[in-house]
Amino acid sequence: MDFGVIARSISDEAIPCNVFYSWDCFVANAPRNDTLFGFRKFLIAKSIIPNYNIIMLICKYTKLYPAHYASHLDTLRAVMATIRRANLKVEFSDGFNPHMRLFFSLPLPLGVESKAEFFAVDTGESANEFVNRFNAVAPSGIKILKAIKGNKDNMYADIYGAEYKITFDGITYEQLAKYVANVLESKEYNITYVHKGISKTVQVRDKILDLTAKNNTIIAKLRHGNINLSVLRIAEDVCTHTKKPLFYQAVKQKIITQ
Amino acid sequence: MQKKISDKRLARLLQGVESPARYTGGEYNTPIIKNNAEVKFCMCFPDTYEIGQSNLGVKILYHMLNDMDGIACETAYAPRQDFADRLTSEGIPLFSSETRRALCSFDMVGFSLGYELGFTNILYMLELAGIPLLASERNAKHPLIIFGGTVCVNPAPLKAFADIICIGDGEDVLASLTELYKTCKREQKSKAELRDNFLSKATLIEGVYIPNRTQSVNKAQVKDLNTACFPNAIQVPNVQAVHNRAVLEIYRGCKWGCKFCQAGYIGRPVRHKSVEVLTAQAEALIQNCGFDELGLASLSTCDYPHLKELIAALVPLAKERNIRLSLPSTRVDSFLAEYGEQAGIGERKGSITFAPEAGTQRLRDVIGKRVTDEDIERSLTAAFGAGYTGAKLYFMIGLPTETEEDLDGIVRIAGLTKYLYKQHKTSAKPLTLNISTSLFVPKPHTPFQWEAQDSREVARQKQRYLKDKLQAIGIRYSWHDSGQSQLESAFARGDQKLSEVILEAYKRGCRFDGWTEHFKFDTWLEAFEACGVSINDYLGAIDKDTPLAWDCVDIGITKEQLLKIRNC
Ligand code: SF4
Repeated sequence: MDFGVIARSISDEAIPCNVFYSWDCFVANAPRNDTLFGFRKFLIAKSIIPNYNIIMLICKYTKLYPAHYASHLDTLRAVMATIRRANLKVEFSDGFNPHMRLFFSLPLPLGVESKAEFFAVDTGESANEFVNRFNAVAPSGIKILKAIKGNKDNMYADIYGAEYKITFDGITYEQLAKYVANVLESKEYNITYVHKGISKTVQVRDKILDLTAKNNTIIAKLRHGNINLSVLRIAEDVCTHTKKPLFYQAVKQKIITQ
Repeated sequence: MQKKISDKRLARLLQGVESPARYTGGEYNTPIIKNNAEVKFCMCFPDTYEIGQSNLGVKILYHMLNDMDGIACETAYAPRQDFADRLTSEGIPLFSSETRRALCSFDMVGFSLGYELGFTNILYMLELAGIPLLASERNAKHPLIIFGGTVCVNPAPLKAFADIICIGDGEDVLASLTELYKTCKREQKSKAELRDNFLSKATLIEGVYIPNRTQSVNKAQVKDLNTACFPNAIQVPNVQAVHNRAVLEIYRGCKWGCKFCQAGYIGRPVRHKSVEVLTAQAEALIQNCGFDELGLASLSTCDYPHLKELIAALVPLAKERNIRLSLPSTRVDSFLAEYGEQAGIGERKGSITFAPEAGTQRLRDVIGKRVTDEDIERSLTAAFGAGYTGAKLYFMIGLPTETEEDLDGIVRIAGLTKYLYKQHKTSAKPLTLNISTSLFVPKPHTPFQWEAQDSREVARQKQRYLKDKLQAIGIRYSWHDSGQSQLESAFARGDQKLSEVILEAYKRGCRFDGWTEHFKFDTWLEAFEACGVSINDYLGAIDKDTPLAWDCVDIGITKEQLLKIRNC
């Protein structure tokens, strides 16, 4: 059963659940594309966790050109503006300054495109209705791919890593393959980078799940979530090692679940 | 010459640049830019994206031009230094946001000028675009450089850089200019012929001043704001703008006529929009833009005669769409208390903003500011009683006839504010009170256009005096840099000689002069000196019989009338 079928089958019934279907329900070609896994989890959670009735619509969306040049906060604003334009009914927080009940996944580094970003929104709208009306008035680069009802707290729970495609300009396959082999063969691997004017060196080997060189690209599977390695670190490191001017384009392809 | 930048080239340019979304275009509600338009216009704003995207005037004109047949309008903002350096090092001329077309390949490049301290940024943008800075060095191959905006009511300091200067409301002038260009383009064979024919015909358009061709000019004026163009959808900025909200312009002009206020005089007569028109425009903006805030723009919103009806119409709209309605917090009386609560304003009571301008009733009478001590007291009492916990009070120092007593008056009002808060507060929060002063700038076309401005030393003395006195009673005091105000005065009342000074200062590295952190007053003084001009020549009192640099501009009020108002 694919994701769309599950989404359609549950979204209109508004089943209260505290566990969002495992990320691999969302991500095409993810390592564990087993929807039963999600169902099992949902059933377990429902029976053991009392506070199970906060359901939200969890949306997987793209942040492609030119939207990837916007910061996390500006993206948040753009999504809120889109929801307003679409006139979608969403819940607001209480208090003096009510704001939309909207939760975002981890910020994406500025300039990195993504085909797998997520937000959860507290809405009574059906998934189909929400997606269609949102996409009709979304700014270029932002588009919801899929949406499903679930609990937003679990938006992060199952995330283990993310897969990125980094395309380099002016670096040959041989150079990339050499870099990849060097990293994968090492037990420890240090990367030096400059953050806010301060040079830092960190050991990152345990955060690199896999690297594959292909033509002028590297497919990088990196830890993502609580333990995180920014794709920019790898991209910049490649440029440093090959002594090439810094130019690359990175796209987050998908999320890897536990 | 390269005309359009590819996606890949842009990506390369933007790598590592701060806030790259400023330069990518693609804002929601960007109109489709006509590919084969006969007139290509680039609307430039000589400051950063965040400020330019908050400018309602630019947005109105941008959408108006794009709605016209055969006209395509794009935008460009002053890039920050990091991106400018990148453009220069890559040899790429400044380009428009929408189609990434180099500015030099447009037919017309217009600059919206809201304040004098933006002048060097015009040169900064022109240079980045590879367009000669001086009009005398440009030819038919270059775009026509057009200036518009409030500072143009004295075109003299800008003459050397401009091909055309628009005076007054921009809508009709720009529509006529672009239409005329279109017609001329159809008729002419060579570019030189087109330029010459266009410029000679353009002199006939009301509000158009063409250096070395125009003798005198009347300001252009939109007669009926209800029928004037106003976009149903405006661009939604990619990055947080200074004002990230939908804005309704409710009227132009101001009925009061304070003697120092240029906006009040050049905006005359007062023209209101009807509640029906405003409500329809608000509905469209809310629906099409998705902002979470709706603001009302005018010179003095509380004086809009139908404010009650307007708010009554907007409140349900705002409630239904969960939108904050931001109303001016300058008049807190029963009316705002009643509607403010409904509009959600009552829930976020912050600061009341008030501009008494002068510390004593005597000086307020001299400058024609019709605010009485009772008004101030009543407003503050009502505000604190309604739950406001802060006040921002704006004053001007250096006003004609000012004495120490007037400065003491500012301190007295500050003390009174503290006292009233203690008496009427409804919250345990301490009062946040900010007293702010700016230095009086004599502006053209006002009754005070002949007055002197305080020297920097005198201004500093007064600021120190206020600082000491206000600090003694525990009140925060902030002031506007007097160097910036001096420059503002010099350019506001400047003559043609200042073009040379602007160019010299630009060459010496001055730009973004409106930003305190970038403002280099010493460099400006050096530029004045290098050009053999003294800034002080522009800051003193002017004899009423001396011809003025802006005598060629008729804004609808004669010198005699201004003199009469000045003396009454
Ligand atoms: S200072 Fe304010 S009230 Fe006075 S004329 Fe100007 S806009 Fe009107």
